[in-house]
Amino acid sequence: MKYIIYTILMFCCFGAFAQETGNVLIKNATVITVTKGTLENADVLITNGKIAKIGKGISAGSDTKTIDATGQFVMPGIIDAHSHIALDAVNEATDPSTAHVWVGDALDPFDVSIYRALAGGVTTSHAMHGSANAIGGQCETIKHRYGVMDPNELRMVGAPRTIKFALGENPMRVHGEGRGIVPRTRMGVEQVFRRSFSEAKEYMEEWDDYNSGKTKVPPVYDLKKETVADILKGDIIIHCHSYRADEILMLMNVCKDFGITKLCFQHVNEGFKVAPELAAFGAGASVFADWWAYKFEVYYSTAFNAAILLRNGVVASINSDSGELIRHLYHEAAKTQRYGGLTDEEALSLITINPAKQLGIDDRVGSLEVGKEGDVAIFSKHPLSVYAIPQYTIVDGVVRFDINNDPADMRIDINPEDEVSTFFENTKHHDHDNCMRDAMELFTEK
Amino acid sequence: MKIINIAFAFFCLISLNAQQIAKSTYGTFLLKGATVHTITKGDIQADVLIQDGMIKSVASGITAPANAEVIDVSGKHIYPGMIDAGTTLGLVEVSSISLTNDNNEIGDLTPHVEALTAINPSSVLIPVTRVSGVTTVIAKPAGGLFAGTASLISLVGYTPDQMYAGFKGVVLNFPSSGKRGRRDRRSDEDIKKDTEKAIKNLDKIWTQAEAYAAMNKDKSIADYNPEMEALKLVVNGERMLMVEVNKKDDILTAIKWLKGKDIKAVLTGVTEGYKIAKEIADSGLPVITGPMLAVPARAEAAYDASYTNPSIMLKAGVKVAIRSDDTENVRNLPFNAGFAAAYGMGVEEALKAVTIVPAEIFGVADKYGSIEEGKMASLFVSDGDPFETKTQILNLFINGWNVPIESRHTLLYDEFIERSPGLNKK
Amino acid sequence: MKYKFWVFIALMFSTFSIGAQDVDIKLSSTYAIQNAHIIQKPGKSIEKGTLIIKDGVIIDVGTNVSIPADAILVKGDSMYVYPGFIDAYNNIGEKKKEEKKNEEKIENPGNPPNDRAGITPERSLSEVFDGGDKSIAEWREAGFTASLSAPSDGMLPGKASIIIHSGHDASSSILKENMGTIGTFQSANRIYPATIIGVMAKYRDLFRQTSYAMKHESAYKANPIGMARPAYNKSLMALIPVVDKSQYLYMEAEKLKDISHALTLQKDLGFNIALVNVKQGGQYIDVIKSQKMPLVLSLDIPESKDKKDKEKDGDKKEKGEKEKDKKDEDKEKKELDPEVEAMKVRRDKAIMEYQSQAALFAKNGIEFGFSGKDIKGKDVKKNVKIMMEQGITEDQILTSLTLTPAKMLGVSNVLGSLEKGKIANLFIATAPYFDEDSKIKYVFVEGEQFEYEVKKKKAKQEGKEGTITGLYACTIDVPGDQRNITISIAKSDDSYTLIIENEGDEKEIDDFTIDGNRVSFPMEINEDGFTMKLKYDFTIDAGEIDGSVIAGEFGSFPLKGERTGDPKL
Repeated sequence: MKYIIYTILMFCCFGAFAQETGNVLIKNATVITVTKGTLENADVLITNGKIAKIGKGISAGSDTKTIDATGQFVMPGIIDAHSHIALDAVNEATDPSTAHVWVGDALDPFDVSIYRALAGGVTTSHAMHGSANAIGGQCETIKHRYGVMDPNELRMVGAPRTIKFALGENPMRVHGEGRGIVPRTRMGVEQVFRRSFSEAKEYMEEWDDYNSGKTKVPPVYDLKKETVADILKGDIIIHCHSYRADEILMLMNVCKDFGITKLCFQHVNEGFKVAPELAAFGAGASVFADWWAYKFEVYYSTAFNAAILLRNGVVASINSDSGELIRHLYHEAAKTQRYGGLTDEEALSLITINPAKQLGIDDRVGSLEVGKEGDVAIFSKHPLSVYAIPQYTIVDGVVRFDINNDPADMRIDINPEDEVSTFFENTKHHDHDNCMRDAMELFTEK
Repeated sequence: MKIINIAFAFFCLISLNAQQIAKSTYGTFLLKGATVHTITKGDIQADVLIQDGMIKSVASGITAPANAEVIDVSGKHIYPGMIDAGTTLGLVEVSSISLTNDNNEIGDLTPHVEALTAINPSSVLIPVTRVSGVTTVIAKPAGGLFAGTASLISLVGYTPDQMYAGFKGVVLNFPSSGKRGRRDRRSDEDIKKDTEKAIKNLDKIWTQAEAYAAMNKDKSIADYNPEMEALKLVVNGERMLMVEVNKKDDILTAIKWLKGKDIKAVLTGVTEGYKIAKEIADSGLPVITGPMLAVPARAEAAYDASYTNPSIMLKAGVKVAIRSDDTENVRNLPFNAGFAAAYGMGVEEALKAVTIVPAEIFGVADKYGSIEEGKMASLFVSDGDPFETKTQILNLFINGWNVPIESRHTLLYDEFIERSPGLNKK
Repeated sequence: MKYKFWVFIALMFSTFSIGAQDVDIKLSSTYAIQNAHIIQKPGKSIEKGTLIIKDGVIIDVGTNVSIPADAILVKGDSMYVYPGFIDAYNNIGEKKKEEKKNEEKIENPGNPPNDRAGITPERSLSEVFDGGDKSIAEWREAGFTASLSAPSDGMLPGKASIIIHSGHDASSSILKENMGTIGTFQSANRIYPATIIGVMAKYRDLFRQTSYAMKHESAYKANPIGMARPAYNKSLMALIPVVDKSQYLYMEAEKLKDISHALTLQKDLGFNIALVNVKQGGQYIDVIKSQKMPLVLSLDIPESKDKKDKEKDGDKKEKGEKEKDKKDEDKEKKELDPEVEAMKVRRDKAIMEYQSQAALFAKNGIEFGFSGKDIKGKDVKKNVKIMMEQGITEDQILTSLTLTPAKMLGVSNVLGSLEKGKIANLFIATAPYFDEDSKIKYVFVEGEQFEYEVKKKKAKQEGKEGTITGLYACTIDVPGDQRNITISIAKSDDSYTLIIENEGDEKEIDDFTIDGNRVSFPMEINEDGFTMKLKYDFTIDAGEIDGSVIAGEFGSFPLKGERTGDPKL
């Protein structure tokens, strides 16, 4: 009995039911729409999870929660185009190509990192496979509906499929150095793609022959080739972990040869060197604000990367790739003002509409526009100020973070077998190898 | 030797191009017309005269000496150079390449290894750091129990001696009862046993060090024993012990351990200081904490535990300095302080925590940490609050050297913002 | 003598055992259980009834029953007869696996052979069944007379069969072979599928490959001329009954996320699903109910550690140590950290969720069986009583251990209740099953009688305050087994003598350390070139031994004992 009461209480706390939507009216705020200018003393009305009105003097019925945001700043919910939070598994590092696996199968709604991201205004993130393999697994775009119990309720249903590719040191280290198989060099990495694409093409042809009755025996079903075929068909956006200019150019050339156009580079620390080429291809670039020098392929980096890319016409975004940075992406975006002097609107586009474009969800989120989803972050000061403190974070019109109702312990599912409380040393240090989770164990002999 | 031909320096400035850093210049500089944030004496409208590496004068309407380079900084702001009280700068270049890591010597008992020995003055990371206004840092060794001897360095110079800023401390990684990481499968019981054993070991070493110090009080009579020789300085109170400790219970244990030992000590890290702020204040020990930009150390800790930690300790009466504990991104020290300021500390106190407070802790407040006559000229000019993300640092002086606002990052920007050739090679 | 002792120690840590051979002269296969309280099925019982068994079958049950002349009489006065329990999912009778050594290195970790990747759906229980396996006797002693048993290990470990716990060979133990296929979310070690995402992808690949293989197969059957011959793939062949829905896929789904994964696969691939060994299923009540999924809940439930400690304290108090204890308690109170206490409260709440799962399902009218997969037979009663504290009734527990699994497995015509014509699977307890002191005295498996010694509680003998000398009856918990030894510690003048004894074989230990109440000593065993170093390490407190035997890399095994008398001299 007590259990039931407790469960009900929990549900009330987090207001969590399947794809729950809500009604919220935000009053008297500075409303930064990102795409359509900034309005002073304006209101935003969210009805049934969608933005219904933006303007002055909006009123709403009693079933709508009203937030007085006088003196505060409202912006679109922040979008992180590269993260690994809310995942039980990140790398299936057993093969240079694992296109068949999908991190959407390993969503963890109980990861407290989701709440911490919400407390930084982040409402959507791109939960990615790691970078152990040249062709990694498929990724999942999730909404931060922290409080839901079923992993499926994190999904942003309808978001385009995406897949992780990886160039350079990580796949070379895992497969070449770790196992003695191709790729051990950036030359080998290229061949993994060319081989996979070519085999998938043949595989499609075999199925065409079978389906048209030309052949009688069905080909051996192969989920890996199916997935790569879907890339060739344009059904999946490639998000490629990359650092060096040469390898970025390489993948663009490979894609050109196979007619692939949906391509976004991740990290892309040397993207600034090939910004004109990226712009000409139409490839996106999702970068760190200032991470560099933690390994050799990022030694020749610059924190001005985002600014150079943007000024050269590349659709650029700032990502976290980290459970730490995701908590203050608004601050990471502001660094483009120190390093490159971007305007407020440009800087904020890097964590809103631009990542939305890179994930193919810019028609639904990424700016405050009527008809878009009710994902909103409210800050005490301008979100690009170091002194800004997130006040509310709203997903689908449901308040998921409220600084005034914010108990310290936000864990949902507690494992009875775990110790009562665990202190982790070294959380102080950024884990630059987030991308390599689950992979290190595989190729480091005990 | 410090005096350099101004004309030569000027020549160097002209000849700079991408991927090549201009030279620092030395001389007499008059910074005119800025708001001076002295830290210790309030914010004033004044000129600042830099001569012989020192702040010669802070006053309004200073007449420029004959040989002075006058820099008009009206409408701008002058701050003392920030001090990062804990970094690995100069010791680690590329962290994933172990052979470029000089911060972690083999052994549990290596208090005698000197960070200053291994500092690479030409590290590419140093210019990247200083152009953010961080002029002085602690470079500290890590690993083992007594990790080694940390040094305070100024971020200008071509030899460690030129960089040395007058403070050394021995790093003690106090035995931790926390988990090392996700793969640490030890039970609470195991950890408790390990910790008790480690503290026993520490006590043993300390007893030996005390005995050694007593035995060799006036001159060394014992056999060559560099470890004990290094600890002797700590036992005698000549050198500070920098005690890295983070978990609540461990902090309490460390305070107890330090009690009654007549030595100079500072607690560093102190992630969970907010839980026992009063106990720390009562101990009288100063604290160097950070980074603020860190994930809380427990799953059930508040999301902002790292942001609010310094302010809670400060309000309880603890002397708090802030560090980045970083290597390539020590430049984020002002942002760490900015978050601390936003989450309760206030800008004024946060500024102190990266200037005068660490200077006082390290006993170098006569030289660093504020803008006062007679102190070393380590300061910068900015177009605003240095914690504010968009603020630009315009001029930089370290120990009187006028350091160019250039680093690999700015040079790459200059080269690639409009690449030539661009998309098409003509 | 000594040699025998070594053999014992070696056996203790080896994976097989030899039991004492019982002298077994069977007079008749007809039994009459007389004058007992017979619970025919939950809610239906007979006072002072008689139950007749002949050739493994219940031939009569009631109050007015004539007793055949050749019947062996079992006096049931004041005793309680229950239908034998059915474990609805376990690995009972599975041969202990030999340690895998020198396995061939996998050339292509991204595409390893199925059997190395844990994919063996073709494996029947009979292939891995050992009637002599200790697990059968263990569960039988706990009143479990039948189970759904499956091979273990891997994502598709094999097919499950219904067995009865007679302890005989496969041909007489297996009631129904290949009842269903087992699926788990276990990943392989450093080869594909190495993670949950790999496992999920592999399921999709295998199921879709199977359905295309079926198409190919039938096309070939219809007209093979000019067509490539279908390849023989035993794993895919074995999955056909799952893909064509003639068989359930029993998905091991313990935690909430496992259940979600299982349901995701079911939706993608459309097989008939049963959820087994469920520990945290409350969230999915609606789905399970609406889709009428066969459900097997785990008997393994977590217990609050603090509560356990308190109970321990309570025991101590009984022993007249109240004063000392009180001091400890005061000290503890002072040291209580409110933060830690709050965390404990949260953990206890989480624990309660697990404990109340069965009650929650029962209240929602969902039928389920129970699985003892992760616990020992002797812990069943303790755990179901904890579940009952959360609101499930005795009858609901009994139903889940008898009628429901029988129905779920399609054997309710022969198992699950004590009715005329059914298989004579039952147990006889000295008191109602749920009573604290109730002990199982007889178990009948298909009419075969097993008798157990009902021990009376022995009064503990304590030595003098502060002394550790004495004769101690000890048990060592080795996985799946308990070993009994006797340790004797004697003291004359200032020197101790330490003797270990097992079944009459004694060994004096020369090299031991005694530090206060702590005793430790090493022991080395050489047996057929097999060397093992053991270390005994225990404390003696108030006549109780508590410690462990550490066997190098094999791990450490709990050692417990109590003082039974004076030491040997």
